[in-house]
Amino acid sequence: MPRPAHILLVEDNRLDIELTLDAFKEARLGNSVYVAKNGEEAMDYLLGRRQFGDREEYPLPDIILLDLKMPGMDGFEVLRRVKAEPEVKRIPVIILTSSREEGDLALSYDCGANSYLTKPVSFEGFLKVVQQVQDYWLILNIGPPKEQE
Amino acid sequence: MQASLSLEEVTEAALDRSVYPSPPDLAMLFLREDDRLVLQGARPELLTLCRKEVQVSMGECLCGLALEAGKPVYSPDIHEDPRSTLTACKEWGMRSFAAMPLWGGEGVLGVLGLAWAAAQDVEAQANFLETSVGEIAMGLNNALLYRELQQHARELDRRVRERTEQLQVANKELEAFAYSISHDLRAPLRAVSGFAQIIARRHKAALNEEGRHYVDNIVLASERMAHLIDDLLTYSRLGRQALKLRALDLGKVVKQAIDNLTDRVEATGAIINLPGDWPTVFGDQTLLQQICTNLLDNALTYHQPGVVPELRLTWSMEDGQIILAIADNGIGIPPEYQEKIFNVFQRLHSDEDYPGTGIGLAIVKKSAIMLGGQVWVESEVGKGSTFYIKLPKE
Repeated sequence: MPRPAHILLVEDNRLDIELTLDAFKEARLGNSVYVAKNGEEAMDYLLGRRQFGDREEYPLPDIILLDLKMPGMDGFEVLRRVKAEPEVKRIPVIILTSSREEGDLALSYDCGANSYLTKPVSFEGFLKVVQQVQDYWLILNIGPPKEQE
Repeated sequence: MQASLSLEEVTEAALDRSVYPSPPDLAMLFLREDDRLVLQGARPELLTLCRKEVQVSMGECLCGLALEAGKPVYSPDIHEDPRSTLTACKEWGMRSFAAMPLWGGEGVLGVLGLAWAAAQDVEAQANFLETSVGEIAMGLNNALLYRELQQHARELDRRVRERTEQLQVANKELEAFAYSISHDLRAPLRAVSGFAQIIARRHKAALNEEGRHYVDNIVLASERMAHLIDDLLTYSRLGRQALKLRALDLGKVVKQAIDNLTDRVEATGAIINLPGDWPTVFGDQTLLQQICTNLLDNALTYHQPGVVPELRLTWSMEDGQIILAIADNGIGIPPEYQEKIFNVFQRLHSDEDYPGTGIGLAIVKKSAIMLGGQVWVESEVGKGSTFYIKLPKE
């Protein structure tokens, strides 16, 4: 059994957050999820700033699920900053968006995205995506080494 | 004088003093601008330094009088002539003067002023002068018309460019609008559909029959709306995405489109007849795939109740272009709708009878146009339809 993985979900839409968390629950993934509701909060969390100083309580995630379209700092900017920070740049970032635009795809990979998934409209589709993220990114894939462990 | 349309060359020829039996010492060409004459050129070039300033009013001095009267004005000695009111020619040592109006199609175009330092009997040269001036006027007339034509052409060109730019901007804005609205619509739709499905999965037992029926309705309607948004996005993306044009095996594209529809082909039990060999066409793989998938999908959808859909695909060549024909034995399209069906949101049937978004054929048409081709339909109600797509071969 893999140890429960920790996921950082960066998403501003309350209903999408609820659906994603519900899908995690339904898929019976024993993962812990922290939800950052905007880009600024996500960067604070990842860099241990403000209230996120305690790594016991707010551990670095194994993967980041990142929405692209957010008010303020959008997903591309979060992606650029993550990939520029030595402490967190190796954490796989999975884009989770409703956009299938070629431009968004290209820019995401240019900014260093590790994977790009679209949010299906149906809940069953959503469940499938969440299950596959778990299977591939948290079980099959071997993540970057953890320096502190 | 040479037939030239260039105003510079015509001016040059008009000022060529060597053609006259008694060459003048000064030649000036004035062009008419409303009620004034403006110096266009002079030989020798003593006047060209101040040419901007040299203007003569209607009726002023000999050239102004020639403009007013439309007839030549001759003066054997300008120093003695009360009509010669301007001093410049006198100061330059000129004595005899001929002011020759240049007639064009719409009146006097200008005046040619010729002056001699030695006294001349200018009227004795009138015949020769008037003949040469006639030729100059004709050349000038042509050159001026040509200049006007060119100005019109430039103006037209500028306006076309301006309108095209405006249209392009409007088009871009519209496409961006469709794009963003489609995305913005998706998020709430995902919530509607997602939570309805969660209720359907987990809480069905807690609902009575009516409640279950309504939840199913919500799920169905949100699925339909998801299709609509997907199709709208595809349509709006058509104009924004760069084309990747290359030679394509039409057979491969068609077979791939059929593969995409495997479930629908199996569900309907459709029979699809394909030709033995296929041509190469020039196009964009994604767009061509989209065209074929949408047309085949329609042929499978609009079949007559209780009749197995039978599709026949053929191709032919016409004027170096490939025409792909997709014929079905479906319900057919009434003649008055055969063009309209290619418009966005034009539907002929209720969603209950034949599900669809009303965008599929609009996508086909826009794609075909973007590939430099065209699409049309021949159809008979109750017998079937044949859709034709014409595509460039090279």
